[in-house]
Amino acid sequence: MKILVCIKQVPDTTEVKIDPVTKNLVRDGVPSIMNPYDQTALCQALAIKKKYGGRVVAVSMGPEQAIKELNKSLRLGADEAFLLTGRELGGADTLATGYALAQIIAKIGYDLILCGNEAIDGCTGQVGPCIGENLQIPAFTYVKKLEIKHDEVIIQRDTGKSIDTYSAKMPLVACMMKQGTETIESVGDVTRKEVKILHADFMDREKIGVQGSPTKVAAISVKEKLQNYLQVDYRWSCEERLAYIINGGLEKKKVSLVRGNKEVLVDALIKAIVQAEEEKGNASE
Amino acid sequence: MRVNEELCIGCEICQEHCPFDAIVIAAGVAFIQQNCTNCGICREHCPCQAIEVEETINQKPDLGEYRGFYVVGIEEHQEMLNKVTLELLSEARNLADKKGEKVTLLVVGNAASQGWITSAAAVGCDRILLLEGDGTRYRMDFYTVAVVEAIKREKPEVVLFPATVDGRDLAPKVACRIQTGLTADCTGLALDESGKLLQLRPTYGGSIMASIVTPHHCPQMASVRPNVMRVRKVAGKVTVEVECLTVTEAGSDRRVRFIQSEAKDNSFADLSEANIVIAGGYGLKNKENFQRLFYLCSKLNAAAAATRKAVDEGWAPLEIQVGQTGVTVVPDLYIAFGVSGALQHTLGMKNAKKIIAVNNDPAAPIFSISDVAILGDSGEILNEICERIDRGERLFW
Repeated sequence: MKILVCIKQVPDTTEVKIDPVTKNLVRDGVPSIMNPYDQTALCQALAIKKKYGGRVVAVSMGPEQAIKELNKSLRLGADEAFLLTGRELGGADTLATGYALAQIIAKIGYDLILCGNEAIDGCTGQVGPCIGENLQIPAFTYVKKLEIKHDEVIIQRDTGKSIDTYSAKMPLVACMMKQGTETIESVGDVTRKEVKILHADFMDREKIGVQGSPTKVAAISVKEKLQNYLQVDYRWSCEERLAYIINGGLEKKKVSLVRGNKEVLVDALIKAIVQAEEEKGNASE
Repeated sequence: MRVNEELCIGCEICQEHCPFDAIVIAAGVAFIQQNCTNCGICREHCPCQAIEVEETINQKPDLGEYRGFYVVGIEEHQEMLNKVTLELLSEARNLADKKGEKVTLLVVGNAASQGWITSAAAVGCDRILLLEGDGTRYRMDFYTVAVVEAIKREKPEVVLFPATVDGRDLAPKVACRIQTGLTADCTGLALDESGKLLQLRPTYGGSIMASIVTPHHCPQMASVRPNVMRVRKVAGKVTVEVECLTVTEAGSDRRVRFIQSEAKDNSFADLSEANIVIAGGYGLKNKENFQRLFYLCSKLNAAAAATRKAVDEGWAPLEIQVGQTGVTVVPDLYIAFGVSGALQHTLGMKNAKKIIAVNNDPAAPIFSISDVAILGDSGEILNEICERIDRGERLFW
């Protein structure tokens, strides 16, 4: 059994900050990491391998720096790793990404394809299903649990309202939810295992990169956070904090406390909730 | 984007402005890497006009025959359409009016209930297209086949999906079969000057807003976050036309077998994606008050959250803990009952757009970041609001 795991290198978005003056993204020192959902998928793949045997193959599409995350997958126990890279793949939206990954996966060969349910930078969750469509195999999203029974896969999907269980024959795509509980031990150094570089030369040029992407980014804007209080990062030095407070000059909004008996307070609460809903509606117009 | 190496002076200005870190300076010239999204910001800032947009040579198909705004409804009840369906229909109505187009609801089923027709009419939907077929297959497989067939027949200009679990499963499969563009989780929609759909979505963990267009493909498709658009009732009487499309299912096999579905406690769902979060803290004092909080959540379509202290007391499960150790939430509305506002907790919710806090301590730090501060016993107020709901009072919307 060959288990393919799709891996994306993402910036650690919890570290992305906005410069309060220029409103630009502060990227200095923002580390790149393996998408946490993909890490869950990799753990799942390694667990299946441990139980039923097989080979775990990690695949990524991205710039050459993404080798770092594939090397990590090898250290964690993947048997092989492939990086699909090249300038012509740049600017791909989810349709073009799904196509390119499906092409490379078909070339490598597969029985089971595991993805993260979404990546923490783009958060679209569209590439996994798109890989399934390109390979004409079923794709399950929001997968919580996965078990193998002979040539069948038992899949638990977490719809939020219910846990739905399905069975399907391999091959198939499963997009894994983050579990947050798995621990993987590094198997140590990458021993003679090397990330193999692949290119898109055999693919349909019309379907990859900018060419193959129906959606275009028309504009980007840094979202101004609605803040009415001064947010001082406790990790800054004393001087920085003082300078920020003095220069930032944001006035701390003083809210007046609503006082009264139970009925008055409940009325105020309901009014505030309804008002929030109305403001939201106005913002979207 | 492409750099004209003869014009580039290697000044690094583009590199500084690139929101995606996609530009490197090598051998004195800028080089645009693969993670470029073609947003064009570098071009705006380049002092030498050295950055050009790469022309796409795709054949532009005739898109004139694609007409009308369509909403895909994934319905759960017969009494009325889901709230998210009504939100999407309202938004579609709003956009369609600007172009003088019709709004159609695509929905799987063999008959349109009176409840569907009444609620669709209230938000100005012109037509319901029922997708009829064999309901025994894997639901999401059937939806894919059905919606694809409807799109091929109807040729819509715009198709909107709810960005729910099922909608986010369905939309990319449909987009891939049709080979058109799809933007995920939009929080805003508009029309640009040429009448194309501008799809706004947060990216990079919500720190950037991107507006996306699908210039040369139809239909233009987007999934839209629930609880973002407002349900807008239209004035006057609207007659909703109901039509049926029998889905033939050609070429699709039964590749998935359904085994079972186990209901989950809904109040613990989708905390990080929820638009309304209701949190309880140590001030709620007991487990019973948390049960009331979960009840209020179900009424407001909100997700429940708890502070670490409340979780430690065993009043709420670990999976709904918000804060430094726990989930981070960025909802439109955060209602805090008996939450003091310790830094460990506020780190996980301070970016909520609006914060309403109920606490009996006037010095509680939570009040300093709140928009509305209600001074009172949180358990008592929660109890009162639940009683009013039980009396059948229409409190919210």
